[in-house]
Amino acid sequence: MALREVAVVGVHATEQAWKLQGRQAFDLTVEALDGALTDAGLQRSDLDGVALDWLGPGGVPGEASSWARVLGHDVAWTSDGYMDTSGVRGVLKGAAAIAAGLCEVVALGGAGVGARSTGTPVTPPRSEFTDVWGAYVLPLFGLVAARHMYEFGTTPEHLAAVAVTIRNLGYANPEAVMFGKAPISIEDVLESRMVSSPFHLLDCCIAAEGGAALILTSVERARDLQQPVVAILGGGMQASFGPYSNPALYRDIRMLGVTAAERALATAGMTIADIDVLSIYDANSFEVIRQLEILGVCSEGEGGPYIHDVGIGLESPLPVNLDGGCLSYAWSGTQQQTLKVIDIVRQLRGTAVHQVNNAQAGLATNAGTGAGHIEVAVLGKL
Amino acid sequence: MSIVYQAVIPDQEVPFVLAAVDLDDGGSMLTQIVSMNPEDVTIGSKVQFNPTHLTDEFSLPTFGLVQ
Repeated sequence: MALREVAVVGVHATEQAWKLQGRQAFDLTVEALDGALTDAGLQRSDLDGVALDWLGPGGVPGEASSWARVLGHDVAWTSDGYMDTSGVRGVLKGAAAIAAGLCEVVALGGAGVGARSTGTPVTPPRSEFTDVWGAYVLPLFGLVAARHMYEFGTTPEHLAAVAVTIRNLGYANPEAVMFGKAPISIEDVLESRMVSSPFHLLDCCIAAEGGAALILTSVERARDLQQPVVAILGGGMQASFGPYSNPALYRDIRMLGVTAAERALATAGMTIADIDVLSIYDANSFEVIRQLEILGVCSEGEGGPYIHDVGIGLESPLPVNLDGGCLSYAWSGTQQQTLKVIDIVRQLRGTAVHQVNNAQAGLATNAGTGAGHIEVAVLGKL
Repeated sequence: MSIVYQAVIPDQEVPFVLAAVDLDDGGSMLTQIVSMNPEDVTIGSKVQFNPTHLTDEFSLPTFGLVQ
């Protein structure tokens, strides 16, 4: 079976909020799982592949086979670990398992709570050669952004324009953590406090709570289910170093993601021109600029002017993060990666909050630059 | 480089300058550039090894602007 014979048949995002009262990661994951199954028109008894976070209590923390006792039957395939229960990497691995005949129906997902109560920006896992300098996620991305600005003349206003476009979409998304905030301007971003140069507060994504899950199965089975068929047309991954273990230097990572994107699009039999909508990892505003370059939407160094001249909003030729992204819709540890795929699925089904007209093909990425990796998936409506 | 205004290490003084420096002998390393005024540090600034004494047993291999 080829990758393109695998479909995303069910999706569920729980409530996303700064703090979900009385919710734990486990019950959010169960809600996401059951919600995605219901969305697919499937039951727990249909599930034989599990890539879901298992934190306990009980079972073996970190081991997805622990879910078998919850499901009430043996499972044929499991996947677990830092990024294998979320996002593009998880989806591609789950889809590969189905395509290889290892299982038939995969659930992927999980949840995160407590990001704000710990008070510490998340940089898992701990890294002795960067922690010692007080480095963490944001400054490590800052190194790359600063170099890009130095080499290509990318401006703070370019970054702010990304933040304004995507944040305002989230402020108008009823599901977003920041739903209801008044729209912001470029000046608002530039006047917000500098956290780690060049990133002002409003250039940075949120840290909140929530969960997400999705269900994969064959296109053949998907045609008998209740949702429009959304297939995984292609995928690609690329990694340069263990996340945050080394500082990302622009000269080393400038092409990071190009090969992954080429692989994903080539497998799909497409070019970037065939893509109708993007859901790009947006831990910060600069990451969107860089990813537009490596995806081939514009040339290297031209991402800033592209934002200014062409734009990325709903009316632009290739909209980005119409759900509000990590900047204002949701971020809960790792499942915001899954939400990138869910964003594209909803666009292709025609059920997105800010809907692209007649979306037929979409591209989702997880990353990012400062962390030395990228994953790309191309999805299409069949 | 990035001027860091919000720290994650509890006792870390802010702002501080996080930077990757290219060494004359080859190679590069992540470090902090210690400066009276962080705004004086820019990409391309010439820096020299200037360790920060932490304890009698331990110094952090930081750098400073060449005067």
